[in-house]
Amino acid sequence: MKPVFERRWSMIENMLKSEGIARQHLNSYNEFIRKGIQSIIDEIEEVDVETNFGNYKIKLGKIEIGRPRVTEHDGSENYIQPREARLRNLTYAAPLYLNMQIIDSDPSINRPFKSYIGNLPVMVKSDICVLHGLSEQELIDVGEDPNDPGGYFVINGSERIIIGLEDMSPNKILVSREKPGSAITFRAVVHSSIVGFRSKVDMFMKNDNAIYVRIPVMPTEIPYVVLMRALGVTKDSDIAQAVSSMDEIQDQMVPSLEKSEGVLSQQDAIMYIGNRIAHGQVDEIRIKRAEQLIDAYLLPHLGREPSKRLDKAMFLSEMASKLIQLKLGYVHQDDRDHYGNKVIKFAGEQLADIFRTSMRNLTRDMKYQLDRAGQKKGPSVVQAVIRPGIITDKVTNAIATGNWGRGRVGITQLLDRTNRLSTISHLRRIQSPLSRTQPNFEARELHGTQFGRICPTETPEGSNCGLVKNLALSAVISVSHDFSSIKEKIEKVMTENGYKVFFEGRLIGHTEDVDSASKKLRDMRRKGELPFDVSISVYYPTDSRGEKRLMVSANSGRVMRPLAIVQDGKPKLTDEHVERIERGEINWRDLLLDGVVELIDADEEENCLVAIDEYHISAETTHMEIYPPAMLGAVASIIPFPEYNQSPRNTYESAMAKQALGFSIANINQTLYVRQHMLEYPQKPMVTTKAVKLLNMDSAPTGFNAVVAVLSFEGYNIEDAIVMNRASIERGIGRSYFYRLYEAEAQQYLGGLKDKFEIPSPDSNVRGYKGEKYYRNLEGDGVAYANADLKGGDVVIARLSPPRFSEEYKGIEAHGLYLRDTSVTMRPSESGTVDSVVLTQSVEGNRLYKVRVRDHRIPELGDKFASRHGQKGVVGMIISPEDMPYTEDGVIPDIIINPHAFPSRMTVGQFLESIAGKAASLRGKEVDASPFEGEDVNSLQETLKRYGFSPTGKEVMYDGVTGKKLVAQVYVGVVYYQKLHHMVADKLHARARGQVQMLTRQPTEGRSRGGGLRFGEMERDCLVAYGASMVLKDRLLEESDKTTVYICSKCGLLAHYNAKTKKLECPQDGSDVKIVPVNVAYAFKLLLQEIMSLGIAPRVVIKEEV
Amino acid sequence: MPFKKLRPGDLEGVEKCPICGSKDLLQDDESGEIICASCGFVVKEKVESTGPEWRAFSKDEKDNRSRVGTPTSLGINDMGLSTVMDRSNRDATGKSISGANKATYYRLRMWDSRSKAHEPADRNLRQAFNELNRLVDKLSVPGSVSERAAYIYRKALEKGLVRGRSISAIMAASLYTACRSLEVPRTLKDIAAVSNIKRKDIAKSYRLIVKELDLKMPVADPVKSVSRIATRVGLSERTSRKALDIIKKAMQSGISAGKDPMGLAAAALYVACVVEGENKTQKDIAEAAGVTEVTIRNRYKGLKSALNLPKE
Repeated sequence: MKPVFERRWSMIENMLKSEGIARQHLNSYNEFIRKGIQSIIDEIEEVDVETNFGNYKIKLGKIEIGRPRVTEHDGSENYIQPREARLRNLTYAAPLYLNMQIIDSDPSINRPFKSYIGNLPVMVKSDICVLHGLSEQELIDVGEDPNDPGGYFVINGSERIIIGLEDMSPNKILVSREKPGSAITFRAVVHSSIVGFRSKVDMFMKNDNAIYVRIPVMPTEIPYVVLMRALGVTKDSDIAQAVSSMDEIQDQMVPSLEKSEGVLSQQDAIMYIGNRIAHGQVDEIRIKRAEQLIDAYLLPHLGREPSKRLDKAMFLSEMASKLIQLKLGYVHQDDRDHYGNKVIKFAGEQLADIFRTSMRNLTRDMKYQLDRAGQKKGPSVVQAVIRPGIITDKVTNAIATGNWGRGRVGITQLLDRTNRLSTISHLRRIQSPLSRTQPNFEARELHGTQFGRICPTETPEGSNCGLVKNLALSAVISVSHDFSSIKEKIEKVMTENGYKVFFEGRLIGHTEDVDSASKKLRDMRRKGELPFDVSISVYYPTDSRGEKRLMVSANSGRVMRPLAIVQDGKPKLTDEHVERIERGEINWRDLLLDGVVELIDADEEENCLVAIDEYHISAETTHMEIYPPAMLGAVASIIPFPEYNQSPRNTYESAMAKQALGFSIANINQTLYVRQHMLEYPQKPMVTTKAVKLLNMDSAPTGFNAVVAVLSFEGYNIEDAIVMNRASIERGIGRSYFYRLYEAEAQQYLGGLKDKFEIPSPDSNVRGYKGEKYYRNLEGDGVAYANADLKGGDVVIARLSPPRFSEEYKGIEAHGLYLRDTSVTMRPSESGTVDSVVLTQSVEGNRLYKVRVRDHRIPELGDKFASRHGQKGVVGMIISPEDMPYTEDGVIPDIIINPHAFPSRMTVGQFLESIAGKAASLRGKEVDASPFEGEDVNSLQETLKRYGFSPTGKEVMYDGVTGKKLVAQVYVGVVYYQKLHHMVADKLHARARGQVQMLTRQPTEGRSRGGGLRFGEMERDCLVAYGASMVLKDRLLEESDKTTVYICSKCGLLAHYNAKTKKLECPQDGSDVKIVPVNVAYAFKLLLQEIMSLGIAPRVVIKEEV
Repeated sequence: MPFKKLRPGDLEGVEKCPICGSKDLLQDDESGEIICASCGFVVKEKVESTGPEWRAFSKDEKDNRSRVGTPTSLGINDMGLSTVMDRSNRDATGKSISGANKATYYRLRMWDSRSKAHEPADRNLRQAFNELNRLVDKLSVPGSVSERAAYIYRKALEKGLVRGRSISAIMAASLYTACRSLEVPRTLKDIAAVSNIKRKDIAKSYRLIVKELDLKMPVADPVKSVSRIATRVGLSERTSRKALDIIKKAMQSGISAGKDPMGLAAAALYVACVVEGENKTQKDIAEAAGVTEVTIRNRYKGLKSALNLPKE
């Protein structure tokens, strides 16, 4: 029986189709463009200029963003598209213009003006991208893949994405109990955040039961009461009253009040702080610094003006109140891993961070220069002083390297283009900032609140396990809204007194009845009077004496999920709604508007009771799941019958699906990636899932349908190897192309000399000439012709560089003038055919050649393949069809896998897929194997029976060599196989002789440099244990870094050869002593010299050989 | 893997074949050997590899596997060779230093950076290159031009040309000189606009630099200015190609000699507009090119007579 939720898939499908798969990134970036940038500039507000000739101000106004463009070397400006940026190694960025005005007593210079302040990288398909809103055909016309989700940047020609970063919710008070026995007993933490800036307030209770606060910049903690006094709440009774009106709670304040150390007035308190941050300065400066600290760094989300100090005091009181309530057991500890306490920062929020610092750098630089400009002033002076590079360089550099400053690295990554699925998954990935070296067990575990938000299976294995996550299909990320209009709405449900009402972490008032107030607000949201992504939740204490709180949040980055509203025991979402969505009459957003469906974040879900389907609705039920399988992520959703697999297998497959070769991008002829694979004959899976269609994987498949027999074969498929049918390979199964890009730019050097693309002539005096035959595939322009077959070491692009001179010709070098051959050659271990040649111009105005070489990869022994159930294996043997076992019907399998792959791994899903694939082939129609609602096994078996096959999937088989019937029946079916990008052609390597490292003179390492294979410590142990001393010496000395050193027999130090006297001599004892040659490892010689460099004399004692 | 021809001096101690004395040696990177091309003797085996270091034990090592640091640059007063104190406020063990010491290190760092400029000349260069960076930034000229400009400025400073003149004027002139000599089209006007120095002053300093340093300037090529004007006016690629043709012909006929390249480029573009039927006035083009309409008309006349162009 099919589950009831099956038909509601179209709602999820509609949601993802209409929003796009990379919506989170685009929304976040668009918000940054629309509001974020301006708010950062408004925060700076103005630049004060203080010259010796008088002061003036520059007021910063509105920001404007132009069209993406590039400034060529000749100063001309061209509008660009992502395609051009990728091909020409450009940065896809748009110019920022800032409106400014000088405020000065001289009215002649007060006219407003606009200045270019730098470039901002443009997210592909965002609102300011030229691709925004283009139709499918228009996208094809500009050379884009219409299925590309966007959401990444193009920096210097490479696609980079800013990974979503998991972060603690801003402006939320989190209380926790500390480890028993430590100096701190209870703690309340708030991450106060404004655009691009965050400041942590850490309040804690120590063993002495007094409360202290730690704020950024301040080197020490301050007693809570002192801070309250500094904020203007001076009277003890006021301080206690602010925390709570309850006596039990006020009693707990006594130790804290005692700690105020005679600091009684506001002035005293401010001095107290000033003494600690500006120690030893004059009074005025101490006061100024302390006030600055309180205004700018303490709880900045409440405002950074002195007028907000009382609000801050109230907020601190609330923190203290919650802290004490935790101590008294009225409230429970907050769960840091609860997804309601997390937000995800996408590109926009993270760019805001870097933009804020670079904007501050710019204004600081402006001030510095204008302060020194002397009498000159006016718009033209200001414009001359603005360095657009400050913003451009900082932002592009940050995205290009992933270096966000202050030790945050790896924020951006190169977009994964292995196949379409890997790109989608990459765009939906979320990283936790927690260290991967520490255990952090709780943070890595799957949390109940992640249901429907984070994919439970898709996470890497190993050090990043559970820290790197992926969004579920049903996850929707909130965007922020205009706070003031929401606040007005909330005020309607507030009363004079009662429970506290919080909005955006701000205490905005009270309400007598939280439950009816929250209901009213939710009704408003369902009617569309409040934005859909506002969350309304009620906080219930564990003890009746604790306070209830009404929390409303409208911030961005909360992970929400759609749920159907249940009213009076009936879901509002009916089949009719679904049908209308299917017919395209309505959009899922219309359901939000109609109050049929709503978006619930993890905090609000705590107040909900969600039924899994219609049949489980009870009186208390508030919501119903729409389509529970959407709790899986994009990658996990393409696994057929995943609910029949052991869970780690699905995790393994989630990792492997991203390595499968397929049809990665449609605009292959418009893009040049450094490495790129393409499957030659991709097939769409016959056993498919709904997500496969949703993600358009049918138009970009990543594998092929193979007839798979589960059978051992002559030992050639033990240890997960697979045996392949040669005929199948010859028919095109698993063939792929590998593309590699070779690039060369003709650089210009100081003296006006330039690189030239030219084949060097054999008789010319060219350094590094490689020999005629390596240049034979080149044409007159010095570049290999299209379709040239190149081998390892062949020149792809011939280039001659002028001699290296730093300044000018400092006399002709000893061996005369020579050019250097800096040609780009094929990688030593690769070969291929020139696929395409592109000649273009870099931003510097240099000629830039890009040559793409293609290599045909036919499956061979050692290539890696995997089914969609985490069952991977390498090809162990390729067998001619006549030697393969065959069935009664004469069907010869494409792949034979070993039966041992199943018992311990329990991938029953693969068995089902096998039967389903067989049924699909027979019936000529795909089988739906979507998670939790795949076609019933019985119906599949029925199909098999109908077509004369055994319903068990087993068949009689005959040995291809002897023709004898196999004793057992064999499980044969059709399974979708993926070719993974680990191929022997990229790994095969051996070395007999070769180059050595410069420092140690040991063989080089790594395949790309023809390195040796390390004979490591454990291998050494084997020889030691065996007593094979001669082999040991051979491996570790003779074949490695054997050298002859000369040792002075008198002093035992290293001697050397004096070329003048042609004698060996000891630096200490001269040449008259006996100096003996000794064979040692070069590494040992190095050790001696390193020790000597420490001022220690290592002496080698020489004895006569016996 | 190819055999590379070994030139004398490429590898120390290997000059010729010890057996046959031939100087014709080949290097085989794959086997790590140097072989005599005439007799086949293996002159040297286990040649050291010159590529970047491979083994990386930590992420930091992986990031900078190179044997060299950042390249020296003439655009830094000490050519980027000095050592600076890191700003990271951490000691050798990676712990952050205490608040009290932070102030000390801040002062030390400040004095360290101040002490870098020993002589007045150093200080002068510092200021000049600061200015240079700003100009380069605003004009977005390639790095090679900025290096060239720094080189010219250094020469000018050595010659004592900066004395009695403003640093920024000489720097701006040096940049202009560099642009001219590397044929990167930037006009005096462009530079004047971003440097806040009068065009005349830059021109004066430019002439001084060219004369005193005995520089030979290539004749400015009108071809290089075409795309600049064209993008500014918003002309099609077709029209600018046509203009390039016209300029080529004009240069062959010799009428371009001694004429302002900007004017010529503008006139050629105007002609191209007329031919291609693109509706742009002389004024539009004149503004974009920074020349007067009169110039365009005059150049146009020359072009017309030389190339038998249709009437206006």
